Amino acid sequence: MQHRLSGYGVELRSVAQSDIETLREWRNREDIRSMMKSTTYITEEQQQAWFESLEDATHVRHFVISYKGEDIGSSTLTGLSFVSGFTDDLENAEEIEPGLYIGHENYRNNILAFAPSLVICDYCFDELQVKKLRATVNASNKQALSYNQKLGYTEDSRFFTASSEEGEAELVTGTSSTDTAISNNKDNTQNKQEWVAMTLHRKDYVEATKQIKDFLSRRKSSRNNSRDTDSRDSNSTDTNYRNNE
Amino acid sequence: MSKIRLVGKLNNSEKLVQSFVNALNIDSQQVTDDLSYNEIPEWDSTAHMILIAELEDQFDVMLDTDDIIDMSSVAQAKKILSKYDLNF
Repeated sequence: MQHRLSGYGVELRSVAQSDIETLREWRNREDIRSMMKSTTYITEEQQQAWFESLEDATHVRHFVISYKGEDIGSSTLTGLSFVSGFTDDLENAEEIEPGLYIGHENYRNNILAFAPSLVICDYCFDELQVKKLRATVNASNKQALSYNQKLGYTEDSRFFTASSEEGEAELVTGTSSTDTAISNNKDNTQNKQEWVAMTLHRKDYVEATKQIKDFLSRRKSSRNNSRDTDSRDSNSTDTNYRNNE
Repeated sequence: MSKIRLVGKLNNSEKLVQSFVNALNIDSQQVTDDLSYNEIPEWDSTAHMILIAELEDQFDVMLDTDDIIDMSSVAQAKKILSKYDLNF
């Protein structure tokens, strides 16, 4: 099934065969790869195998993000727990972990990066009716941590992984956010990565994003209009969802 | 009297710098063309929203979403504001 979501000026569509090489190039960039749980370089063959595996995957959805008709990044939704034990379809998810990266150079450090997250969060909370969203962020990625906090995420816990030679992360230890046990592992920090587990509840999301939603939903209006007048573009404020068989 | 008027009347470049200083709470020397969104901790999304409001007030313009998104550096701010018949 093809999914298409839109809002706040951006569009998210299901990944197609024609997208996968662009995604691979972005995903293999050092600055993007180094912040992922798996830092392995992805070959063309691996990328093709990954794309073919999506056909049977119901617990995960991959999107290409576009702005003004130009592809700028990628987002993934992964179901973590499900209402019914009989299906792991994303529509049945209680918790989802969204992932996002902006690959287009012009928009890497840009406020536009909030737009796809707003679309995704609206979709998860309003359409899929999930209880909470989860995120796992590399502790050295201060921008991503700050970004998530601005969406309303709060820190749950921290844990360490050790990278294997192939770049796959393996869990070493976990610790609660208030626990200082992290320092116990200082003597073994080589190839060790610290991660921050975060959670987002609908109430916190709505509260935290009120201002930025309005901000990214403006339309051109006359300066003579009162500032108090709602100058938001009603067509772009609400996230739109479309599924095609 | 005339001195007060001279001090109070800023040219566009000075207004621009002042907007960044007010919104980002930074020193005026930091406001160079190269300064970019997210490059310094002070220019985050919250400060960006304040900056847009500052610029709109200073220059009496109403910026749209495309302007807000494109305004990712001081140089870009000048370029975008130039569309509103403002010279820098």
